[in-house]
Amino acid sequence: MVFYIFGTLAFFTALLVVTQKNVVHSALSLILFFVAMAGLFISLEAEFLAGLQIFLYAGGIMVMFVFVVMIINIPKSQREPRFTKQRYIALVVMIILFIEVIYLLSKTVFKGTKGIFTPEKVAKISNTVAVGQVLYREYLFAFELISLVVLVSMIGAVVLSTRRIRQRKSRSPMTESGK
Amino acid sequence: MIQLDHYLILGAIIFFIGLTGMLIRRNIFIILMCIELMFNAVNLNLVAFSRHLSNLDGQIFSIFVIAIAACESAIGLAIFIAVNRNKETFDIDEVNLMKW
Repeated sequence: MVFYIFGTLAFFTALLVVTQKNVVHSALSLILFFVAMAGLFISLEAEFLAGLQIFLYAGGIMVMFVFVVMIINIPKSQREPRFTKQRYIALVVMIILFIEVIYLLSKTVFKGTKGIFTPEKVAKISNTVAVGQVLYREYLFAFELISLVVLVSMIGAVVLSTRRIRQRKSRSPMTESGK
Repeated sequence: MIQLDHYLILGAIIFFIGLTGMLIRRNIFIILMCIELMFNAVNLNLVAFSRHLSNLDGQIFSIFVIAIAACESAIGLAIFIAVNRNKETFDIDEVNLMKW
């Protein structure tokens, strides 16, 4: 039951993200989509990931999105044609691909060896403890590497968004005249 | 108990909504949001398999995917700010500085 409630919510909010005209409206629908996703994670007994989803996506990434949308002024004339030129071709190809994927899913039987973290065992030590044990024992090196990636992307974002300030002073007035 | 297939089909639907939106929308911000939709569909599949196989590796992978998604959107927004300083547009069809 929980799956159907949050699943339909996720489906319709995802559709709204794609079809809304205003960027801020689709950002707000995306926040609702993330909350629905967190509900789905809880129905899969991944409570830590559900919390992480709300903290990081709804709290962090979407705030960044909304701030950038608000500090940059999008002219009204550019909002009007919402879709690109290749929209019909893209739609047809996507529908064909989607039917193909659904067909493959209906034909596949998913097997595989069961792991050691059965729901009863995870319920005994709580999901967060179990995830922490796996993350800091087996995936410690990957965890360190991901922190390096985050550091690099942070430096990259700062460098990319501040570089023009120095160059703007030395610009010739010819290029400024376009504004 | 909901079967694994339900989650996989929902993940496929959301992934294709995101992919279609990424291909047909012109606004750069919407395209980044559609990439986030696709990341979330992948996360849903990973967690569903993690539950199905009673193995926590899928949830660990999802944590890494979320971290990479945060990095990606930060870099993407910074690139768009840089593009916006050069060329005052948010139309993806008009950003073709590197095309020729």
